Amino acid sequence: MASLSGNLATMGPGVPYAIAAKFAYQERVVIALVGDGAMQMNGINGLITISKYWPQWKDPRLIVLVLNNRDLNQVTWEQRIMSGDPKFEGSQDLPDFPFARYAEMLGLKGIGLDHPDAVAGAWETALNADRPTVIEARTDPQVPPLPPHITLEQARHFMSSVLKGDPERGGMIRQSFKEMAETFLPHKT
Amino acid sequence: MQFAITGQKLIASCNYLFEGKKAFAGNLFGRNPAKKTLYERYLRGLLIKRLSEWGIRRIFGFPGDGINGIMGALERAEKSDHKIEFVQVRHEEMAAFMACGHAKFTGEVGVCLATSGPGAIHLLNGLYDAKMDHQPVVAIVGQSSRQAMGGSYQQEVDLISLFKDVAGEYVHQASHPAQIRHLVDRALRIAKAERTVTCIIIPNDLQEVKAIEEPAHLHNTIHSGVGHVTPRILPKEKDLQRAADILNAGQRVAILIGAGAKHAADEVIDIADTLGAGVAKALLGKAVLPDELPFVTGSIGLLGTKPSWDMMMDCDTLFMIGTSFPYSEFLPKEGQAKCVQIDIDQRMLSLRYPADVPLNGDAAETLRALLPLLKRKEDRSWREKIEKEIVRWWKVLEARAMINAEPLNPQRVF
Repeated sequence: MASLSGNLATMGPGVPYAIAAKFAYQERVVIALVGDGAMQMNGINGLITISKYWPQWKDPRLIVLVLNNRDLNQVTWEQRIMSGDPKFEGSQDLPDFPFARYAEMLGLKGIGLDHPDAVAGAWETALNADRPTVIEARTDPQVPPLPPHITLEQARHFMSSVLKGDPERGGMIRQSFKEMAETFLPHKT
Repeated sequence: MQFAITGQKLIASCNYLFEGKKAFAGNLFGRNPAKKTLYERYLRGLLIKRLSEWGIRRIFGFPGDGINGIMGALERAEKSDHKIEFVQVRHEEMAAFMACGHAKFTGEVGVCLATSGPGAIHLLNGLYDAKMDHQPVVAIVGQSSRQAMGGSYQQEVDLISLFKDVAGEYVHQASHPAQIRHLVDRALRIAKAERTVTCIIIPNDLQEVKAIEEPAHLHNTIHSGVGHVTPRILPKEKDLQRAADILNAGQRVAILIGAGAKHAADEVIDIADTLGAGVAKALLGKAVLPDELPFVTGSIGLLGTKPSWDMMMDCDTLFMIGTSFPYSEFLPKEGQAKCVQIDIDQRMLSLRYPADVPLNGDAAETLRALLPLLKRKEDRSWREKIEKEIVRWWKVLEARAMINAEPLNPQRVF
């Protein structure tokens, strides 16, 4: 089973849906995938609810994966690709928040993840934990979410955001180029 | 919030004590309070009993003095046959999200509870989430005392108007104790039948009055009952045949599934095999079929896959099953493809792409009825082409995830 806010497409259903799922199916492992923006909006208050109830769950495993890139990244890319504007740091930059440490303070398990080699181990630890876990992944905001088909307009907007002086243009061009190369010339089989 | 005790509250407090004593006396005389349910002599208790009879076992909410009566009844019901678990949230929006999540994952009605004014207002976003994803959710909210209403009283908000949009199918405020039975029955039944949000508003003083479990059999009395049975919804034979004719004539069939296909996984697999089609998934349909199946092109849209995009751009027949996927630029251009659509909700038919045959029905039942009318496509080249592109796409995804980034590539974490 899996869900999200489909038609309203609101931020913030991840952690409360996971809590509802856990109450309904306590013997199952529940996983929430949440951005740092949604965690700051309401997810961290959901962690308090988790800390209140997990000791009574038959199987205490509930994992919240937070992608912490200090950027409201989807909308940042929409500003670039849909509107052709550079990223507006005033609206897009997020304050850093220590999600893993906060989880520990609440008596949950917190795992900081900042190296690709540690990904498998983090999941293994969380899936074998004796309590709910927050995995805080420090991810790169400059990796572009590539659409399946790039329209001329989208490409023009991307260039326009660069020309208008996007504060992260160096990194985002580099990462976009790498993604495109892997899309059209994948060198791994 | 804390308030000075008003006369009304004092009476309420006395009722509280009285109820407790009666229950205690019941125990003393060896009666089982679970059988002799004293708490339900008050409206608040009858509310909990009726919800329990509807199968409600959990309520998500946050207290406040607009619903203290109901909280008292939940506490008393804990040791009775009508026990309902109360899950305390930090903010009422979370309670509405949880009620929606509960409905999505269990298929049952989700119930959330909030106090008057601010508590009720906090529910709204989560309720809209449920409404727009067609989930049965009932919101129970408190309201100012009846004698204060219209007096611009503290926390008095026009809740009927506030909920009129999100709970437009059914929102009512109780003003007489005899109403509570049918308000609960109708809120639950309409939420279930229409797969939507409904709302009951209960003034705080009314929660404390004597219950009327069965109104007198007179003019102006309502005699409602508990229970809802989901009907079987199937299109007519001739329309299934029209749909089959289109699907049989198509050479390049693209299937798009959404949340409505949730209980139709086996049927979708059979139909896709028979039609030699690929299957793309709108986001809410993501869990219907695993991405590992060789003919599943995966997600669709701005963050969708190239195989989904290519399939939609090249298909001559579009078969939509239980989806209202909104982004038309990722669907075929009007006229490019013939279209058959299945949806449980007639209002959602022929909305994103003009359907030649819009079928109103349950996805699994309709697909089962359709399957015997379909001819297996002998030419498998379309399906083979799709499967080849999917194999390539998985390599692209893996290669993209392996690109180094600072410090972590988000695609690598999953």
